[in-house]
Amino acid sequence: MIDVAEGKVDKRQLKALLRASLKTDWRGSSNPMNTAGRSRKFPPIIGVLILKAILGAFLAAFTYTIIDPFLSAFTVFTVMSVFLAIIILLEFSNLILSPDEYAIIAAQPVGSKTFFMAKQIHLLAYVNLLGIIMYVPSAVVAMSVNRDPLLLFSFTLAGLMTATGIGMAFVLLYTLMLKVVNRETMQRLLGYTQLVLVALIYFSYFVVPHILENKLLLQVNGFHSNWLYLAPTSWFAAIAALPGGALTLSRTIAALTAVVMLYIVYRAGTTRLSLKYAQTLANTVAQQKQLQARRKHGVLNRLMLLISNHEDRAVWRLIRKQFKYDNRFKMSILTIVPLTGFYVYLGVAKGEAIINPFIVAAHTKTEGMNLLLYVAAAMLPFLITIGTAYSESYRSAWVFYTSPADRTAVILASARFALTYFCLPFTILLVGLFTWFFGNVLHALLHCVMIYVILMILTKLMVLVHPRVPFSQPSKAGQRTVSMYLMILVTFPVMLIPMVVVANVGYGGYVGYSIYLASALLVNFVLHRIMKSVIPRRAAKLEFTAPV
Amino acid sequence: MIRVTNLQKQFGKLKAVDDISFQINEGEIFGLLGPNGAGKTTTVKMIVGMLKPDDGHIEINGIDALAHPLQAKSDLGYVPESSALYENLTGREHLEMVCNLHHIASERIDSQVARLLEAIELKDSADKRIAGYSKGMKQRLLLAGAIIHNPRLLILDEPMSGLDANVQSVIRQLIKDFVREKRIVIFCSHILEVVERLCDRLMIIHQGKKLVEGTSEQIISHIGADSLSAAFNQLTGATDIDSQARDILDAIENRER
Repeated sequence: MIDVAEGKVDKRQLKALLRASLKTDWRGSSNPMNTAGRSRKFPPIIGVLILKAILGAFLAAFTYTIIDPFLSAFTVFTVMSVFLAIIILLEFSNLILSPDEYAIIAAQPVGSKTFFMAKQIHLLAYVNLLGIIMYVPSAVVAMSVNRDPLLLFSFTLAGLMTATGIGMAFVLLYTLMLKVVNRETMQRLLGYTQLVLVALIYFSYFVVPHILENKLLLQVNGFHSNWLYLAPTSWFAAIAALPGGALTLSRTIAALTAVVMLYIVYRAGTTRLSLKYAQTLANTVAQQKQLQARRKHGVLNRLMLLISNHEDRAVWRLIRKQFKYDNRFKMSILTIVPLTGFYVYLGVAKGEAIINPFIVAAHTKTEGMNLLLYVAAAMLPFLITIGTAYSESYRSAWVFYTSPADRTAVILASARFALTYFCLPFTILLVGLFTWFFGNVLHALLHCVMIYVILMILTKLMVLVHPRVPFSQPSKAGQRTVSMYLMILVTFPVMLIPMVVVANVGYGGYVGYSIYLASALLVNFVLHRIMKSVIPRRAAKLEFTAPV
Repeated sequence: MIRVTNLQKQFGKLKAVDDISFQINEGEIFGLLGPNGAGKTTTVKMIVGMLKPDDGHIEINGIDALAHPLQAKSDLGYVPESSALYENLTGREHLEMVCNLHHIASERIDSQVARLLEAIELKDSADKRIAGYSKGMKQRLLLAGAIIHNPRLLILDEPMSGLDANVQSVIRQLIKDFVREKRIVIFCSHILEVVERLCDRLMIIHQGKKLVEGTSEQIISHIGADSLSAAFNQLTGATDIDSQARDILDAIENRER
């Protein structure tokens, strides 16, 4: 007998729903843009788990340095919370925010509690799995260095509570926000939250140690300030540190606050995640569909007419529209803004002059920080090409397969978009910056021409490695995160090696510059020729197997 | 003329299309009939270039579609089964994008799109995002996108599903008028009544294999059935409909046979 009463959870239904969700997540994706016969069997979430395991190892090393269980737990939980928040925003938003759920729940004899309990467990399972990977190594290290087996238990318990708290806080945040704003505004707001969190990570990774002149690690041991208790992660850290002695009043209050807060967030989140919430979501989507996009004759629209290539025109407009309305895509691109900002800051901070490669002396050594400017530039084409590959509307890419459009041109269009809309303005910005430091416009301009040619090489490499029709790949949980990290791994050496040479040896005057530039142009030309023969062959093998 | 010869496609162990051949002449509406999963959509996807055949040959208006896909596609319009459209674009932007993908001269795009939007009664919604369109509006937009470049071959995959009677009538009339100018329509469906009324010739496929080809009268007499529906059921193995329905009811009511 099915129990449809609101107040009860049907265990059989719960099990069935969970099994279905997890099977969907963990089965390899059938990629609609694969070359014939091949299909991906490796769920991208595995990649995220591996990356978080690496972070967990770093955090464990940090714990080993800090020793103090409270401070190490505070650091580990803070880092973990920020990363979990980003992952929820970036990869698992649909677990809470999918408007399609109402259609399912409304037609089935599944109680509201059962359905949302399944969603909640689904989210918390991921959050805790990722959390465990990040904090358990630190818990083991904390136990070993403090020789207190109880620390393993308390650290793990506190980690579990922190991760659960983060998951439930997001459930609560989403449901509360939906009461005030519609789904589209809410997604936009959540996107900007993600941007702030990303900025926070960069800030703590790069800028804080830089400001503190890398003394943070040395000074942190024995650091105690009541200001720390303003951060919620310190309340949970107090639980982790309970067996370590030093049971002060402030820590006891902090630990109790953690328990009370978790209970409140859990209860409030559970109560709000209801059938009514699903209905509101469905309604806001219906309202959102009435949105009208006014026809604009803006500068960009007029500029589009200057583009002679039809494929570029079609794809560029699509990218611009997706950028405007697809919040996930927009945010994946905008992530570059804080990163670029920090790289520019670090590149020019501490009065370290950016070396003019035209007059670099033999003994000049760069500290390497200003090379980050080049890294920031190099990340742009990667970010755009990866961002334009994945989309919720991947099934609509059939249009590129059935039209007589040159598929190679379609594939190259997003790379050209990145070069024109992102790399070019950034290079122009660099011209201004270098002019300021070099005091020579010509040197700055020529150096930036060199950078732009390298960016063209990078873009071609990216397309050669993985040619994709724009917005033709399904978004799978973890896919973007893995792609981002891979991108960083690939980008750094390709851009940095030539720039390290330039920064340390210099161009050696205009003749030397000409040789450098000619070499870069030659590489560019060779890649262009390779692309002309390789991409059409690879593009011809691409199949569209998504259901349409 | 369309000539498909010994077409084959396999997904893993499943033979989705198994040695299918057929020919369609100018001015013909050709119906592709078959139960769900028969291989209709896979056949169509290979003709329009979304899938590569494992073997076989496709010729569209004298062009080898596998050797020269772009040339073949320039004379082809396709309406997919589902309304998969970039929902963040407006109707007008979608058609402009399709025009660009078909290399229609830039100066002609605006006027052509405007005329077509008016003709399919989407003028007022032209600058609204597709996300807000009804199923019928999306289907009309897909149809407009499929014919905007004036192709000689139009392929429609289940174009009537989920549409109201008015939109269905418009599509039916459009197909009839379209072939009058020596053009070709491939109409893919499992709704027998519509196919029987609309198509000049039919081909029934089942489990990836071609079972029969001809006019509906020829098929009926060849099978010795009294209607196309009966012939279809007989060919696809769904002979004892009554018994099958009874079995289903027995199963849910847990009755003994």
